[in-house]
Amino acid sequence: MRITFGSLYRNGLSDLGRTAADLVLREREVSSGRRIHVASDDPAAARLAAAARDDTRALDRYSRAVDSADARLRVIDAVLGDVIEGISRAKTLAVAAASALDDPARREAYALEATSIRDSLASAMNTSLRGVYVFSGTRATEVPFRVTGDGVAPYAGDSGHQRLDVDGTRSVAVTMDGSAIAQGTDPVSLFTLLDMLSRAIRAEDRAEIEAVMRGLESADARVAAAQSQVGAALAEVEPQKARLSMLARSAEARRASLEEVDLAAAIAAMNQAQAAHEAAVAAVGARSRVSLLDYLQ
Amino acid sequence: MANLFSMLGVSARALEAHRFGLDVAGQNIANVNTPGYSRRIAHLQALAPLDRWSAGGGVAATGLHAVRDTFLTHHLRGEISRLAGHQAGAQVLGMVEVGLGAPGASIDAKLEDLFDAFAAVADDPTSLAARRTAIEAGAALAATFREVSSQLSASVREVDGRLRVATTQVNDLTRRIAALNQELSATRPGEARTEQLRDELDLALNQLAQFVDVHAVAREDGGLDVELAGGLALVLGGTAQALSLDSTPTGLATLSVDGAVLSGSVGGTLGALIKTRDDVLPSYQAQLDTLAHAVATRINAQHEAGHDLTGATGEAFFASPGAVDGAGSRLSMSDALLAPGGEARFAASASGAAGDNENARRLVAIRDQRLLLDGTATMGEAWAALVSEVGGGVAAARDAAAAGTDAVDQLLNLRDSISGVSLDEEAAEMMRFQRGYEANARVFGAIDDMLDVLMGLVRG
Repeated sequence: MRITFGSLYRNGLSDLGRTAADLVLREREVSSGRRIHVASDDPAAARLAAAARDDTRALDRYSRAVDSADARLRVIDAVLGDVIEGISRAKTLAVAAASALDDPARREAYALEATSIRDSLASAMNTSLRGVYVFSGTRATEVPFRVTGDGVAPYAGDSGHQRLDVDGTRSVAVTMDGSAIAQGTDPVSLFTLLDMLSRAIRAEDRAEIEAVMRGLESADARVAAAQSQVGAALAEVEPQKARLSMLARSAEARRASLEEVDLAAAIAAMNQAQAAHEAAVAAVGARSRVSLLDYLQ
Repeated sequence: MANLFSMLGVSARALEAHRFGLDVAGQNIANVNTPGYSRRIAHLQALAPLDRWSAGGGVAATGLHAVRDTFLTHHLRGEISRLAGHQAGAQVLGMVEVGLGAPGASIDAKLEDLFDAFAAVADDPTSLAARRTAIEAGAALAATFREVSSQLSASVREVDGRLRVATTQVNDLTRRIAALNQELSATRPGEARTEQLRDELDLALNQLAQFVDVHAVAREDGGLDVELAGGLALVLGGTAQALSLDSTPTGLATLSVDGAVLSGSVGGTLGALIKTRDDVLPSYQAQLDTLAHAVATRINAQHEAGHDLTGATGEAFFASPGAVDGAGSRLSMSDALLAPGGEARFAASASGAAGDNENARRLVAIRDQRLLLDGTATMGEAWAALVSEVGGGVAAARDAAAAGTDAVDQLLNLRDSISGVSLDEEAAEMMRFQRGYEANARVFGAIDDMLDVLMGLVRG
């Protein structure tokens, strides 16, 4: 095959262009740390990386929901603990009052304490977190148990629940139906029971006090059941945090392995590309120096 | 019988022939970098003896010819055409890919931002700030759709502009080829001018092949008729058939030759540009519109199924997208939600209770619904599929262009091995003719000496 000046020049230029392009690509990979800058760099990997990135965003979203649910459930748990303690105080009070009905001063003190317990329980059940009343169901902007001069107003919330999604298939209730806790299926609410207790102590009505005590037992059982439910939800949320964190790390690692470079390998490849380019420059220079014309006299 | 004087004539013709050979080598060296130049070979012919006592009439330069391989030239033209098409496609699609935005920073990110914002409303359904953030995220998503759609439309216009420029260049080239044909018909084979015109004709055809896939048919008068791949004549002898540009109602150009409208099958840059403008970009635009339409209609339907902060039935989240065609360019937020106080109109509730977040949760759940690509892809996946398709198109065109470059280089090397100028070879030719010239000059001197001797005898 005849080797011409044109083909020597073209091949040299082509070789230099190829090695220079490779060097630029490797340098860019090292300087940016990324293998994929646009989808055409590796369309299949870019698509998988996009899916991994979207997964990471969704998992972050669920993680935030889990944190929020966790915070709210802990508040509810604490409030229900306070309510149980209040009911316990009320039961103790009822027993003490039943044995001291003949002392007017003590009767009045017990009656006032029953009212005080009612108010503190109503206050606990009116707990709000970031403006949301956690015992109002889905009517979360309404104070569920407003205390008035006549006692505690009827429940202002509803029977719904505000729920938060903690993954694609599971959700956790983060508000509760206050009425189901305060009254449930009983004829009167916890607050009415305490009002009844107060009236019964003043009226020295031992039978009514005993009826109130039965009602308090029932309320105690309802609140304890509600607290168990919250505890179960918290127990579900805790491992979910760890699981989401692990999945997010996995998705991020998948994205990084697709989009980013192994820096050590990239630097080695860059050095190799640089050496190849230098060799190509030297080779092209060497082969263009030799000509028969140099030997003509 | 040859005499000394006729031998002087033989030597003089030999000197002339070798000077011509040196001239040809010089011409080849002079054109070593001239595009399209085919190396010339001097024709030297031994002359017959005048009579039986003569060794011969010496040598004469009878002309020259350029070394060409018609098959190779034709093959090369086809590869040039394919390469130019791939390069044009890669260039335009690369531009489109940039217009789609960086991975993770375009519609994909805005979609996730919107679902994040819906989730924030679900977390705190009565928060006006969370509701405003969701409305702003919707507006940002709509703006990104419009921006990408606008980029695709701009790409269509850009390609159309390139098509118009390329058409002008094609018409210039066909006119030039027709003019060269005319000149060639007035020259004779073996003349230096004929070979120069043939080189110019080949060069012009190669340039034309970058724009369209052409087929050249040799004419008896030495010229070439040029046809498009489909058989439509572009040049017939000295007559060029111009490509016509007509504007359609959409403002885009239609190309035709003699009434026949050209399609992407014409090959070369023109073919690639027509195909990209008429098939590829509209397909991308259609996918974007379908996605935008699905985003708007699905989110609107869910939003309308809910209740706002006042308990009123929800209204459309996005302004009605209308038909699928052009939905991406029209996507925008509902004015009522964007307006001050629009936060209260965000329909987070399913029951009507202010603290109910059920509808906000259902809005978030849309993210995972497979609404697109025949029910196989979520919104995010449909976007990733579009980006991947564009990226795949760019990568395929670049790979094809790289392979085409190699093929063209190989064919150019083959062509050069036949038609190209080798400086070493020309240096050898120079030596050959120089030495030949020197030897003939010595013969001429020897004859002159003999004539001197002869003249001396006469004078003596």
